[in-house]
Order: sequence, then C-alpha cells, then structure tokens
Amino acid sequence: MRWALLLAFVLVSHGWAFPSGTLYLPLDDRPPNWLPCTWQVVRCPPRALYQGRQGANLEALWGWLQEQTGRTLVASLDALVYGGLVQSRSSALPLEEARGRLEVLYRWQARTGGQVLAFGVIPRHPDATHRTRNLELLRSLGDGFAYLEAPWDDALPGSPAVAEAATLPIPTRPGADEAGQVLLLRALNPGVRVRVLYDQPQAAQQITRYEGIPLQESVSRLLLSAGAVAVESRPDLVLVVYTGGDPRRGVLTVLQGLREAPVALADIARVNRGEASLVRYLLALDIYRDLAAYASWGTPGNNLGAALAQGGLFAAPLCQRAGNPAAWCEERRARVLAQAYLEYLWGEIGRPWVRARFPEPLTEEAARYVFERLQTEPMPRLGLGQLRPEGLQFPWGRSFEAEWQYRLDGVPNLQR
Amino acid sequence: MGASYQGMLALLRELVGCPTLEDLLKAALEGAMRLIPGAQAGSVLLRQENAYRFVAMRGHNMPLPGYTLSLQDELRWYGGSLEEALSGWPRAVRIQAERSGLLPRDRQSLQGMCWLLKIPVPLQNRVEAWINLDRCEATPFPPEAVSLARELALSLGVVLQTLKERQNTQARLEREERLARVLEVLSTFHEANLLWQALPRLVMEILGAERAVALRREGSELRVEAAINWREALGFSLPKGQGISWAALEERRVQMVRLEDTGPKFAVPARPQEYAASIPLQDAQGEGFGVVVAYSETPFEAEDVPVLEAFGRGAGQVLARLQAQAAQQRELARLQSLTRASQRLTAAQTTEELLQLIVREALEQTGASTSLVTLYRPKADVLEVVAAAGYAAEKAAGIRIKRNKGLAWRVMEQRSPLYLPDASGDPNAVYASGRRVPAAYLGVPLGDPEGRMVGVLSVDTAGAGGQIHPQDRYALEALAKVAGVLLSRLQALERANREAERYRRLVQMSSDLETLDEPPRMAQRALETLIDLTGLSAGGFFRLELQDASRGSGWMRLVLGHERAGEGRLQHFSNLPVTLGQGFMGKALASGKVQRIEDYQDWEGAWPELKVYKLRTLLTAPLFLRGEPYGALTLASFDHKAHIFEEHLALLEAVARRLERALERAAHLEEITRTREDALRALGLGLELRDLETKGHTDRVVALTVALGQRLGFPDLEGLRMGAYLHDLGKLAIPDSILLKPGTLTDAEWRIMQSHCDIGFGMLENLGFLSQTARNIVRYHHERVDGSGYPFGLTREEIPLEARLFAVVDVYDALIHPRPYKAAWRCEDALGELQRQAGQTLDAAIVEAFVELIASRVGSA
Repeated sequence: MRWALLLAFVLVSHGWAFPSGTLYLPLDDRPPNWLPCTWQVVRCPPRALYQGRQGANLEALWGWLQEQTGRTLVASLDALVYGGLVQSRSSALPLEEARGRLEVLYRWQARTGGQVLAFGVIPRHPDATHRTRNLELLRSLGDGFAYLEAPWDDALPGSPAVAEAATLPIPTRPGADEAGQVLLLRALNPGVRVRVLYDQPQAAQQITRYEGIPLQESVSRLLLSAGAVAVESRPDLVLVVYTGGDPRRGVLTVLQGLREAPVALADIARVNRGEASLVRYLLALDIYRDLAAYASWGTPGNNLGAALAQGGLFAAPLCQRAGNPAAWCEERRARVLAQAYLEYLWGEIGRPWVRARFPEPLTEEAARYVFERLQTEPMPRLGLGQLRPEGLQFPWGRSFEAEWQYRLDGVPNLQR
Repeated sequence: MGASYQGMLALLRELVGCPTLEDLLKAALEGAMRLIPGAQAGSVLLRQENAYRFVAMRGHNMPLPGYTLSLQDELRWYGGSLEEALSGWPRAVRIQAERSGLLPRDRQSLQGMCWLLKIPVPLQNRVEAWINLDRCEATPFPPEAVSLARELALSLGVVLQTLKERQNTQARLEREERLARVLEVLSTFHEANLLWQALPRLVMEILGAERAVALRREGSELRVEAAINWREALGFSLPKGQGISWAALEERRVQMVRLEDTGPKFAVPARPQEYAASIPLQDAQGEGFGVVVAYSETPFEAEDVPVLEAFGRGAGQVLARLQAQAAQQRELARLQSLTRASQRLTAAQTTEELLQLIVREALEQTGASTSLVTLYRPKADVLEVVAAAGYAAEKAAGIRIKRNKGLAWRVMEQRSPLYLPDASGDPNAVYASGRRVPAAYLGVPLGDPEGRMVGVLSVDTAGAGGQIHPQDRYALEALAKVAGVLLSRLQALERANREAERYRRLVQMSSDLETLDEPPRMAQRALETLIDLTGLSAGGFFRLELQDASRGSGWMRLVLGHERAGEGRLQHFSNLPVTLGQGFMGKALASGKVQRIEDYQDWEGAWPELKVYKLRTLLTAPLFLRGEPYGALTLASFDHKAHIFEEHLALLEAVARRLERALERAAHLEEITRTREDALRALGLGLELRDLETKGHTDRVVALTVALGQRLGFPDLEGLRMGAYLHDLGKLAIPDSILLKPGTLTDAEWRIMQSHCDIGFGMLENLGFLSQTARNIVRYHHERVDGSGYPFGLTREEIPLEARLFAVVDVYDALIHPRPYKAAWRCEDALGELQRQAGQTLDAAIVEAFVELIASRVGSA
C-alpha cells in the first residue's frame, strides 16, 4: 500500500501531461490490447475483470465503468457487448440485447459529459458465426459517440469483410488488436504530422495480404483513425513502412526518415513476425535504439497502427510537445522499443521453437525452457540501458502470444 | 545464415564504431581481407569530389600514393560499366598493370599480383569507395568470394550512409544544442538594441561563420546595425528589394548563396569566394524585423536551414516581445507624461501661458526641434502662429499664413494629422527660418470640446534636426486634445472675465453717469472707462461750432479730453476744423453712425496734419442734440494699431447715446428753470402792475434779500429769492376797496388786509417746487420780533429766520420809496429807523448785517 501511494505520488509529481482522465477499455487482455494499460497514460479496468480466453466478466466490467469518471473513454464495443474478440465471433446474443448492453456507454457519457471514442471489429472470416448481427450493431450506432470506427480483422482472400465495411456509415480499415492504441493516439496527442515512407514505393499500391485493400489506402485510413495528418514536409513523425526484400534499402529508408523526424518503423514484410535481416542490420548499425517505435507482431494493419500510435505518443519531440518531461518520454520510448524487440524475438525464434517442442496448452515448464533459449539471443542496448528479459508466460496458454517480463539495466548508454 | 554472413554483421558492427570515414575504410579493408577468401593484399580508395584517393593499403610494398585517380581510371581498372559499379557488383579481373591508374613507378608494386577483386561501394548513386583485393596466386578468387564481396559492398554503402547520417545527426544535435543555448540567451535580453548588437555573435555561435552582420529593417531599407569582423559594413543601408537579405525577408526563408553567384553587392569590399546565409528575423505573425547574414569561406549546409529558421523565428519573437514591451513602456511613459502635461497645462492662468506650455510640452513629447501652435482667425481667414518653442521660435511667432499656404492649412482643412518624413519636397511647406531644408513634419488638429477646429499643433525638425516618428502623432494628438479643451476653457474663462469686467465697469459707469448732470463731467467719466475697456490711448468730447451753417463748416472744439499717462497728443486735437460729411468727425456727424478707421495712416480721407501725430486707430461717435449735430465722442490710438471688437463699437455707441440724453436733459432743465423764474417774476411783477407796490419794489427786494442771505450765509438762497418774489402774493385776493383805500382801514378791513399772508401762503401750498423758505417768507414777513406783527403775533425765534430777514429788507425798501401816505426817506434816515427798530420789531443781528450791506454797497458805488 505504501508503495502504491509512493508510486501514485511519483506519478503525480512527475506525471505525464497528456490529457488526464482518459479511460481505456481494451478489447481483451492479450499483450497488444493490454499494453497501453502499462504506459501510465490511461486508467484501465482491473486486469482480473478480463479472464483470458473466457472473455471479460461483463457485469463486473460494466460495474467498473459505471464507477469511473473521466473526460475521454477509449472503448472496445466487443469487450463491452460480447466479452472480447473471440466471444464476438461466436456469441449468439440477439441484436437488441447487444444494443442494450451499450447503454452502459451512453449512461457513462451522459453522467460524466465525457467523450467516447469506440471501435467495434468486423469479425474474421470464416470463424464468425453471427456476422450480420455484429454488422447490424455497428450500423445502428449512428453518431452517438464522439468517434466510432470499425476495423476489420484478418481479411484473407475470400473474406466478405472489405465489402461489408463499405456498407457501414462509419470509418473502417484493416486491423483490430492495434485499434485501442490508435484511438489512444487520437485521444491523447491528435494532429500529429506524419510523413509515410515506403522502402519500395511500388508496394504502396499493392493489396496486402490480410488487408484486402492497397497498402497506401490502409495507411491513409489509419492516419484518419489516429487523428493524424499526412504531410510531405516538416513532419512530426516519419512512418517507415518496410515491405521486405532488401534490408539495406529498409535501413536506408529509415536513415532517410531520421533526417526529417523520429521514425516509427512498421515491419510488414511478414505476418506475425519481423524480418530478421532488417532487425540485424538495425542492431548492427546501432539504429534500432534511435527508432521512435517498431512493430512486427501482427498483420500489416496491426503493425502500422501500433508503430504509429507508439511513435506518435512517445517520440521525444511529440511527447515533450504535449508537455511531458523529457526523461519520462525517453523511458516510455525505450520501453515500447524493448517490448517490440521482445515481440519480434518471440515471433522470429520463440514461437517456432516452442511449437516444435511443446503441445498447447503450454505449461510454465515450456515457458521456462523457451525463455532459456531466448536468453542466448543478442539483446539491444536501448536509451536507458541494456535490455534484460526476466521471464515470460503464456497468458492464454498458447504459443501465439507470450507475455514478457524485462528490465533495462546498466548505466545509461551515452556513447555509441 | 552462414558464418561468413555472421562475420560480415560483426564487421559492420565494428565499422559502425569507427570515428571517421577513413578509419572505417581501413577497417573495412582489413575485414574484407579477413572475410573474403583468396584475398592476399588490398587497397581502398575514397571519393573526394570527382576523384579517388588512397586511404589504406595492405600487403603492398609501397608508400600510400599521394595522388588521386579519376573515376575513368577506376572504371578502366574495374573493367565494368558505371551501372554495374553502382549496383555494387564486384569484378574479379586478371591484373594488367598498365590498365591501372597508378603512376608507372607504383605499378611495380603490382608485379607478382595475378588477380584483382575490385569492389565498388555504391552510395546515393555514386561510387563512394573502391575496395581492391589482390591475389598473387595464379588460381582465381573462389566463386563465393564475388557474392560475398557484393554483400560486403552493399552493406558498406549502408554503413557509410549510416555513419554520414550519424555525423549529420551529431552535427544537427550540436547545432540544435547551440540553437537551444542561443535561444536561451535570446530570452534573457531586455533591450532591443542590445539584442541587435548581439545577433551577429549569436549566429556565429550557431554556424561558426567567419563574419556576420545584423540588418535592421527601417522603413524601406535594411541598415547594418551590428557587425562582427566586418566593421566597414556598419551603417550601410540596403534599399528595398536588393540582395539576398531582402529576398530572405520577403520570402520569409533562409537564403544561402555563394556571393560570386549573386548580382550587385554591398558597397563594402566584397569577398566573392565567400558564402552567405541570410536569416530573416520574423515573429509568429511573419512580421519581419530584419535579417542576420553570416559569411563563411565554406558553404553552409542545407541541414542548417531549419536551425537557422528557428533562430530567426526565436530572435524575431524576442524582438517582437521587446518591441511590444518597449511600445508599452513608451505608451505608459507617454500616458504618464500626458497626465503630467495636462496637470501642468491645467495650471496655466492665461491663454498665453497655456499656449507656451503646449508648445514646450509638444517638444518634450516628440523628438522635434520646433513646435508651433497656429490658431485660425476667421475674420482674416488666416492661420496665425500664436505660440512657438524650440528652434527659430522667435521668428515663427506672429506669422500669419494665408489659406492654401503652409502644411498647417492642410491639417486644418482635412481635420486629420499629417506626417511627412521630409516636408522639404512639399511646395506648401512654409519655413520660418526661410531655409528650405529636409525636415520631418507632424501636425495634428486642435479642436474645441464641441469638435470645432480652432487651429493646429505641429512639430518639425527644420533647421535643428531631431526626430519625429509617425507614431508620435498619438502623443501629439492626445496633447492636442487636452490642449484644445483647456484652451477653449481658458479662452471662455478669459472672455467671461473680460465680459464680467466690462460689465462691471459699464455698470459702474452707468451708475456714475446717473449721478452726473453735467455733460462734460459725464463725458470725462465715459472716456475714462472707454479708454480702459478698449485699450485705446486717448479720447475726447468735442463740441461742434458751426460757423457757416449753409456749408456745414465750423470747428470741433475739444470740451474735454482724457488720455493715458504720458501720451500728450491730445493737445494737438483741441480745435479741429470740420465740414459735415468730410473727415472722420464730419462723416460721423453727417451719417449719424459711429465711424471706425482701422489705421488712419492708410485711410484715404486722412489729413496730413493729423497723420504726423501717428494717429492710427480711430473711433468716432457723433452726438446730436434735438436732431441737430452737437459734437462727437472720439477715441484714438497712437503709434500702434488697436484691435477693435464689435463690442467696443456698441459700447461707444451706448455711451454716446447716454451722453446725448444727458445733454438733452441739461438743456431741458436749464429751460425749465428759466421758465419758472420768468413765471414767478411775472407773478411778482403782476402786483406792481396792479399798483400795489412801487414800481421796481419786487426786483429790488429780491436782489437785496438774496444779497443779505448771502451775507448771512443763508443756505437756501433760491428759497429767499422765491419768497421775495412772492411775499405779497396774497394781496391779489384782497379787494381793491381795501387794498387801495386811501384812508385808515376799519378793524374789519384791517383783518382782511392782514389775511393776505395766509392767503398767499395758501396759494403757494400746492406749488411743490417752492421751498419752505419761500413759503415762510410769504406767511411770516409781517411778524415782528416783539410780537406786534401779524397774522400770528409771533415773537423772536418763533419767527423763521428767512421771514425776519425779509422783514428788514421789506421795511427798508418801503421807507426809502414814496407811498401815497408818505414821502420817500433818505437812505441814512431809513437805516437809522431800522437801527431804532432793531431789537424791537426787527431782528437786531439782521439789521446790523443789513446796515453793513447797504453801507458796503454805498461805499462801493
């Protein structure tokens, strides 16, 4: 308790200057969705209200929300209505009841006078069993919230998601697990001027796997979601989209971006994992630590959104411009880079390694073994010190996602 | 991922740590010989402009060549195309020393070398370096060497780029740090001038340039305000639109040029080999304050632009802040000084004092050298300089400026401030000094509280320099506003005072005139007041003496005059010939109107005889008595023209009329008096005509009574005279039978006879103009001091003095003139009889005085 008080004191005295009173209600408790709750910029429900694969305890979640005051609420409609993304695919909840469950949002809005930024996912094909209900719910919400969008989850060829999205009267784009982060950028630091650089200019016109629309269309819809502005000069942030092929070109593109502004690197060459050659170059050339953000853990939409959101929130000039202390900004940037590197490491080495050796559900023993294996990998030095992983676990008992514990240690690395 | 790839990554990591490009390439050569199988010697060349120089050599027995090789040399040696080289393709070729670009003496070192693996390192569409790996074995490089070499070449390109970027970033960070320091310094400035002086040093701190200047925008010029290492440039002005500095200011962005490439330069000796960076100083609204230019012998980096722009904006904002603060300070100071000024102005007691304070204040409020107040004179339609301060003030005062001349008229007519940075070009400008020199002018309207224009307050720098800024108009306008209000208030007050004083004097004069009956004394009193009120120096009351009535000619005689002390001119005007209709008095008398002559010296009807006395302004009011010309009241000034107001004319007119009435009254009174006298005398004589008295008796007793009264100091001589005239008036009512009865009267007749005293008294009772003295004589002249008289038998002092006095005269005259019942006595017998009666029937003291009177008359006869 004393520690909590002390922590609260530290937060108050050295706290961020992003708009206070922001609530965040994640889609579920998987790392990409839950991550913002560790950023010290939002208030989240107690972790215990989310019960892994079983989904959220809805009544507890609604009860929690009813007790909260705040100026802005970034909320996942799927969490509030179905209990999470997985449940949204299978729940047989009738439309009316689904709509009724959103009353809790309207009540919060009316009670606090705060604004709601919400997102509801257009579910993945072919898993979703009640697509029409999900869509109708989104369609029926009208303009009841300050902002509402519908990202579509994993649109592989043959998915109706893109076409369905086109029928909705609200903004839509590919993505899902990054949406919370993107809307937080919209809520906390809107108006970021972003220049987008592609390592291969021709890739911008190509339709990317899992997205169903041309890459640059994805990117421009993402910028709109984030409340960011696409610019060609004097950007606040450069979003480098690495589509793969030549890591050296990727590095040169990053270098080109760094000349103009901090660089958020979305590594979309592959799905759910980064490109090792690029990362090795970045590490070898000591560039990784200079990035504003890096994301490679999901689909292109996931990675673009996560890189943009984290860069937009924590890149030094942007973060400081919002009134945050420089040291706090630097720590946040180092931590999102550390997290991103560990996610890369999981996708590149950890996941294949553990899949080859352990059946799901994964045990703590499996976690211990794979952690030992991963400790042999090179770890970058980041602004605040050497990255030291301290453990990992499988929140959902499966190999798809791992939750890392780490620290950054050693003296601050001032020399290159 | 093979070991060689790992080795290459390790090499890259090592290379990234190299501090310089040369170190990096040396390490790259070492690494390449280690990594690439078959390499036994090697060298590395780095691009320098358009040529390549050796950076390192391994395994060759020769010193590092000091000369450079061209791209053509290298491509020949490479044996491939530029495109291949830019794609990072290494080529393994058999060595032919003559194809190398080496000097012949160095080619020896190639002896024994069989194979060359030439690796281009491409970077940004150029071959940045060449790595040459040599092999002396006859067997060629193994096949994997080429692919590994390509990997190395491409990676090296990235490393080189990274290093460059890092250096750039480092440089940028340093610049930003310097900028941050400079911005911090900027924020400490509290005075714009000090900041201007510091700007060249600050920009040099950021850029490390060799020299720098700061140009301040002043109107349409940029003037070198401060300079470092270029003193000659100080004070130099750059007209609008010239040079990169104006371009930087107008385009609001940093300009970087090589001076050689630009057009016309500063007049200061140029150094064409230099590079210049012009940084506009602008605030957040884009308002440009000036430019800072840095000069260097090496080109400025494009990367510096954002930093310099930030510097320009930072400095601009500080300048804007300082300017705003200074303006605020100035405004505050102005307000304070205006407050003080209006306090000071309020203290002014007279208009003149106020005007002087205004012009002095105007000088203080602005940096001008001369200040003027010109007031509008509607009669003459001129602007007259009524107050001046500063340079040539004494020349300016009193100047009258006709319409369409002078800048003040423009201010007056347009009712708005006028600012001219240089008035000398304006043909309307009037110079008090007479010298038409470049000078700034600022004039503001001077109005009264009702918004009427009364004049112009102006400042200028003619003759004595100084400075006037357009913004000075606000201070001057504020001053003019205060001044206008105070001026009109003071003028109104003075007018009111004058009016009150005039009124007081007029009332005084009127009341004085009321107490005066004699026209000359009235005229005297009126002239004193008029001269006082009008400011004229002399005045006279003239009476007309017509000598030739048909021709209307005669003389104007000075009845009385009044002049200011020490004037002494009036004597020359005591007798003036006059002809009605001619000359100023003649005209006045002929027309019946007040004549006004502004300046007698210029008057066409002037007489030379009078001109010599320097007669100037003249006012003449004609005087008429019963419609006939009588004379004139004249006021005059000598030596100086006097300013005559309408009110003066009206006043003179009023006095003249008042005087006429007094003259009239005096004439009338005289007439009445004469008439009454005649009437009474006629009454008295009436008795004589009825033969009741001896002829001449009335006139004699009147004369003797008055004479005796005079002798005795009797106060009411007129009463005595009237009483004497009428003493026996009552006898008119006595029937002739009694009055003319020759014999003794019966008692009844005697009582009737005795009643004439009371009858007479009764007849006079209603004549209000007769005094008690006269009536007492009529009633009691037959009383006797011993009580033997009638009608009441009063004794001694019971009988009024006048009656006792008249009784003596009456008895005496009766004695010395014959009556039907007696002969005339001799004078001395009569006197003897009187003396006998003295103390009995007559008053002894009066008899004594009478005897002396008669004796003195006889003696003097």
